Amino acid sequence: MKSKLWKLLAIFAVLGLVAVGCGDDDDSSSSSSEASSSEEASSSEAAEEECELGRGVSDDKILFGSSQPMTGNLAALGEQAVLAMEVTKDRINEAGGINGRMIDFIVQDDAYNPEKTVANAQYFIEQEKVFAIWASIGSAPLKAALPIHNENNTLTLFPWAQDLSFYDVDVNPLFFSVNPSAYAQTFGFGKVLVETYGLDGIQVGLMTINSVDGQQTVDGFKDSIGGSALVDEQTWERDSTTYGPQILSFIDSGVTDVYIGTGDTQFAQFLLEADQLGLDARFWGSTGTISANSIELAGDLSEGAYGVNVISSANGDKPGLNAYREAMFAAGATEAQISTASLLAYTGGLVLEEGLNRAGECLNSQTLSAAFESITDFSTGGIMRPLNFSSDNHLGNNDVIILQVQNGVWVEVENLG
Amino acid sequence: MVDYIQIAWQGLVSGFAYALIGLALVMVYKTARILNFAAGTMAGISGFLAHWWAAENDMPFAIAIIFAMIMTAVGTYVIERLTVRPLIKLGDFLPIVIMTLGVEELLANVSLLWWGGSAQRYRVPGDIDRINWLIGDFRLNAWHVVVAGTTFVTLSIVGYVINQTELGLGMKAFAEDQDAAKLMGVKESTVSIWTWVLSALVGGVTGIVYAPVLFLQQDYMNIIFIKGFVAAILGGFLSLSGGVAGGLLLGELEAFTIKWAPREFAAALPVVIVFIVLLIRPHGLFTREKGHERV
Repeated sequence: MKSKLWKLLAIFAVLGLVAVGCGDDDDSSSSSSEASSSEEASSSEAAEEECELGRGVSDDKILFGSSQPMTGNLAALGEQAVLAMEVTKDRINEAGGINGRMIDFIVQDDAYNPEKTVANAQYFIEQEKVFAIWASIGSAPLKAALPIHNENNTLTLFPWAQDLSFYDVDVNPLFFSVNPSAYAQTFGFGKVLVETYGLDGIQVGLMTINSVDGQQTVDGFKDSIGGSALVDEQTWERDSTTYGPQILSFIDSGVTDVYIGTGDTQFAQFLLEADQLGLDARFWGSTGTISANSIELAGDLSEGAYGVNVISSANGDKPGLNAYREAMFAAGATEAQISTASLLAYTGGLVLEEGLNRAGECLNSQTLSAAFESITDFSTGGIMRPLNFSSDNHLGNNDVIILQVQNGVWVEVENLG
Repeated sequence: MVDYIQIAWQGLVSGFAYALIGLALVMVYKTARILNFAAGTMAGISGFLAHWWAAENDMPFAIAIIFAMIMTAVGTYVIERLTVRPLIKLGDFLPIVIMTLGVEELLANVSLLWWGGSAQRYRVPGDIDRINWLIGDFRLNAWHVVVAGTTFVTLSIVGYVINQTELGLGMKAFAEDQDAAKLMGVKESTVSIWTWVLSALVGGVTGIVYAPVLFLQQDYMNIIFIKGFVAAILGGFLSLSGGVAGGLLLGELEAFTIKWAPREFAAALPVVIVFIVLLIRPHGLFTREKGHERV
């Protein structure tokens, strides 16, 4: 039995050697015409090498991945962002796609849990072979997943995430955003406060998430006005069920202004509890608090509250905003989904479309990157100030816009004083 | 002084929720040795149902709650019969735990599909959740009084059921010794089903009274569930009164540490304290070492 097996293996080995030898003969005896066709082939190969399509890009499709909090207490934001992505996809595809390619995306729920975001990144890249990660939400989740994107030459496009480290082009060369850092937002907020009320007229309390993101929020404010007006710093956790103790601390500290860095549901709960406990101050919500839902939940308590935003009010009357609302409502959005989350994803979609058009047919991470870097003075129809990217600046927007709840809607405030 | 009272009250308002969910968890664990990981989501669905009947079907507030509680009871009956009971017969603990996790996932997704992911306001008659009273320097929210009252009524009813009814006697018997209880003629399936239903009703009441506080959203009771779980561990997981006391204690710990601890540690401190307590008393604060605490 054993000797038969050896014989069989020997026959296979001989046949294998013969096949290899024949191959060599063919190559050495190639005719001149064959040589010419071989040259053509190699020149076409060279052309192909010059234009190597990115992973997830085919002749008729570009596939993106998006990690979103579709469950958990930030699920509403995920839902809103995904709807805006659908709107972008439909707009592009109904116009015939870009260079004949339709765009498509896959959403994976991470419940704002960095571990799940990492697993999603691996799934997107290794199994679904997506081209880029688009419009994901959350600094902490993205911070965990970004190294995986980078290692796999995968673009991270227009997330709602604000960690300072993201914007370092040397570290994250494939990261593009229109959303300034949490640091930049409170830096801008501090300046607005001082310009409006003067340094002597304010005593500020900061309510931030207990994370790196929260610390950067505090740092941004301290750096903007030297920290002397900051009289109380409080944190919240994702598993907080009440903000009562923090509010009582703000009352003790005698704050005149409270900055609340949360999502919209938490902001509404904060306003509710602030009213219950008698905190009399101006309330300033971070970008995440600005939605129709925060007003719906808090009701009259939201009236007069401010929002520190990086974009204009989703309900404002500007060409870009009107187009956004029209498209969102046509896609089935509710009033509550006309929000910062969906507007940011929508605006990122506008820039994405521009970049894909500029990148041309040869689409990969490098060509799209270069295309984004070439975008200057890009108009979003008033949603943001004109956007400018370059090879050393992948953040197109660095402005703070102040909004206020007036008669039940967020409106842009031109003159706070 | 008013400061302390105000913080203590805030802690109690959170603690009531932890206590009720802790109680619901211990109830099932003590009689059937099952950890119900779907308890939080089940409680949240009760809140959604009450809201759905009232807001979308124009049903009076109280009637909507009764309907929601009936649906909770019936739903729990079905879940127990279809998912838990067949596995209890196998006598293995782990598949039942996995099954409750599966039920949790299923209910969470059904809830998400049905009601969406956006938070919704649970309106109460007269918007009394927005009414605040000032008593001296102490501020009291009207809905928090309702929460406290509901907690005491619920605990009293559970206490009555356990101490004054045949079901309670059966639960006690099973908690002490399942084999002996069976030999004494206590029907296991009857005790099991009613324990599940009673536990779900306690969770349901919690889900409803906390909906105006936390707002209705897909998993708004999951955080309360986790805290209730910690409360149950703190109480020893075998003592109903321990679960309740553990919840109240946890609420107070959170309130006082957030107020006075450094910001970096405030959120983690209650968990650290619970950890230290369990190092010293692994069987919890309110259970004797071998777990023979009375119901």
